[in-house]
Amino acid sequence: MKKIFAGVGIFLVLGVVTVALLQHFKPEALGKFSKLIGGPAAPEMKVEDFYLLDHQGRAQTLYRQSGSKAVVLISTANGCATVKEAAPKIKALRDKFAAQGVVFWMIDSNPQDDRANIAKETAQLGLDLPVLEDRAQLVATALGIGQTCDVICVNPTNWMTFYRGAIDRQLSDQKTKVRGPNNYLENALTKFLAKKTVSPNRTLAKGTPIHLALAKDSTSKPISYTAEVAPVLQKSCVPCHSPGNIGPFAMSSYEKVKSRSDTIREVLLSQRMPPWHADPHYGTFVNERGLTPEQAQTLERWVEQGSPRGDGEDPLAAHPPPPAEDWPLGKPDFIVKFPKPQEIAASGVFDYRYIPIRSPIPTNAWLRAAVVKPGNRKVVHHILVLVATPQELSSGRLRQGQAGGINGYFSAYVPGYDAVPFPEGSGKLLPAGTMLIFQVHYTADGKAETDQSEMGLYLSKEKPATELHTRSAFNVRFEIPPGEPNQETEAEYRFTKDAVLYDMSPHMHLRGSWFSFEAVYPDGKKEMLLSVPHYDFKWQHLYRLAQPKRLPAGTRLICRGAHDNSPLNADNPDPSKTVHFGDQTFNEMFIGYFNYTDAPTSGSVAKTGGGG
Amino acid sequence: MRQPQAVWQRPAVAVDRIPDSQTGKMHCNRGTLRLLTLIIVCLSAGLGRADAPSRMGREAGKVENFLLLDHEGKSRELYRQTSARAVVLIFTTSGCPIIEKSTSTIKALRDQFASRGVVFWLVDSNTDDDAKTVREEARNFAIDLPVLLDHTQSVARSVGATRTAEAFCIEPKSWKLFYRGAIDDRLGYGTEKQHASHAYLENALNNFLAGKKIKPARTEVKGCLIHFETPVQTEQK
Repeated sequence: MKKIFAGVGIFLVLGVVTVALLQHFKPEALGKFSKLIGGPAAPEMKVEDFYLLDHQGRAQTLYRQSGSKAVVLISTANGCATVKEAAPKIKALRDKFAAQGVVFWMIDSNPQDDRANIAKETAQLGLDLPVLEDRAQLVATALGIGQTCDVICVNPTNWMTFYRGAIDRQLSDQKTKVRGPNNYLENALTKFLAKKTVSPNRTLAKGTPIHLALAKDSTSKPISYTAEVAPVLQKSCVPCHSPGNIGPFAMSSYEKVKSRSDTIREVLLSQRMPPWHADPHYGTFVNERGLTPEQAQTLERWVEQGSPRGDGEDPLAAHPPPPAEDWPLGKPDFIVKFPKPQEIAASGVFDYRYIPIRSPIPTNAWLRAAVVKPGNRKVVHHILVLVATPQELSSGRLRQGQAGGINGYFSAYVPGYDAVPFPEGSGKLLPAGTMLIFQVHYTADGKAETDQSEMGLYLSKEKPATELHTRSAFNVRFEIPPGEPNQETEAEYRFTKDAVLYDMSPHMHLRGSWFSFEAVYPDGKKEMLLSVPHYDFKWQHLYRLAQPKRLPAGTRLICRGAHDNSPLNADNPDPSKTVHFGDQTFNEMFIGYFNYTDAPTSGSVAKTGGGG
Repeated sequence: MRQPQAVWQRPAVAVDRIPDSQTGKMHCNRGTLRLLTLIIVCLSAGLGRADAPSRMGREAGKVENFLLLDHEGKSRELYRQTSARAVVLIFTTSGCPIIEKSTSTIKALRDQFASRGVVFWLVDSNTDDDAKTVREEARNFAIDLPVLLDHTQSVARSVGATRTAEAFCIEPKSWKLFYRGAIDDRLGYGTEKQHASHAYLENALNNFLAGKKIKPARTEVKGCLIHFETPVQTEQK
């Protein structure tokens, strides 16, 4: 008896030692071994963060799902029979596991599919879950998705995959040779949520192939740095990533770019760069800065290929951008300058500063442009120029309400603003003696800085045909409860005369989440003019319409949006606070600014008065 | 998914991932119970081994010696820091906003801990940063810490650094890591808070110097990716 025990014991010890040694020296060999015996092979991979819009135009960011119990990604494409077959199963699984905190997303990386078709198909299939539009196929490439109905289950505590493959045995490729239950995905989720070993954790899905422009077989031709990569960088990156501009490093040579090529790939996937936040589905804007799917693919593929230099000159080194011009519109007729340099500490988050300066123009003056020039682009987050009479200023109504910029502003600088004149044929009136109040928001850049910003005033030769009005739809009566991830707010502006709309600019603070402008015409028709699915306080774009929009009298401009007071909002200064309207960044705002003129054919006489 | 090689590579240095004491208990002549215990111990040791590289990393690992020049041309050798109570390496690169905005925190930590025998070194493993660039960056940001030039990226590879702003805390008796990760949680990708909620590095140093347990000994870091010069082979075909 004793001998039998000893024999079994020695055998077991040997086995265990073999496994341990294998694991130590050749983990991949053990993986194969475990696969053979149906054990936990490790097809685990870390899923990088990504950002996509879904078919309803909502922003979806993977790493924001850190509060969920699991994230299930399922590849899809319109008109795919397998997806049709899978749809009821997907819905049933979502219904079962959503209550347990599992997030289900479909990902459509088929370049032929557009939002309208996806919405139609999704409705037909009865699938009421977000379908993410992966137009540039960056996510499909990163995840290695090559067909529909491929399931990837992600663990939100470390972003490692814990299951990959088919929804169930019926939807799996014949090559899948695994024992165990047939309901692969359901089994994987059940086991994972119960903190048990997921087995099988790798099966092969059966689906329709998705053609990947970035797939390895189509990348045999090296991307040309000179002819393909550099032009994209020059157009979309170099304007900020050049000496003296706001970008933290200069893209001034191939070497500079190459040493940051992994970062380029990462920021494209998470869409942190280039900073442009309008949903491309609505409207066209002259100052658009996003990359087209093709441009993003070019950069991605180049990085995948190891950022090769190739032949030809280095356009970034050979043709650096002209040094930032002092005054792109030429020498101003009058210049207003901060009386003394402002000092900005090396670190911290600062309150707004208000610097009042009296208008230097002795008479009432019509202006064709008013350009704010930041003295130090590294630290000037934004400058809003408000106007007030000296009486208003001394009466202390400056900081909030009418004079606080809520109705509109006279001029502004925000990162990404171009110095442009007022629209053709329009101008702004600056009455004599007006107080120009510079509301300045500084951000620290790691070193002590100073700033002495200026504003250039350009006189109009003659009285313009129409006055340009900067107005807003705003709401000051909101309350954002602690921790609330999506506190929606609405504001409205009604046009009493026919008008021409030139641009729009949402303004919220650090808890701003999304914002949209919709026109409701007098006949009841609605049109989305601008949607910003993921508002970013750091980039307050003025979205300038490529085609100014005529709005008949009675049109209502409806601004909808939300604040995110949850801890998932990485910008949130304090998720435990109830937040109300206020001008400092720890308070909130809800303003939809826009510039318009009365429509020229209306014959109405432009009113006088400042923009603020 | 593509990962820089250094994440998966077994480091050049010998890293012991499990305490030797467990495998040392191999005496099996007292019947089944002991045998079973042994099997369980062996199994758990094996599992620990499998998990270690992808998860917690190498806080129990030994850091190989290195000698680098700093931006002022002084040579800095890790294993000569025997009189230090701890050596903190923080990876950096020029033009990375996260490390630039961390400068004042790093300096404050250095001021706080230098007198207690902690050595702070920045390590720049960006192949594009030469001594001139680094000197310029140091002047611009008033960095008065040595910035070690890791041109060959061997130190970054050796310790497995993949992002800037990651701190590696080394104990100079065994040259093992006792903390690896973020300085704190104040900065994110494009996000910045007034104050950090967790001062990871400061806590790790305080606990280490007080002889207490360091928890967490490993945190995720947010920083700029370090681009490794050898082309990275992707796993997927």
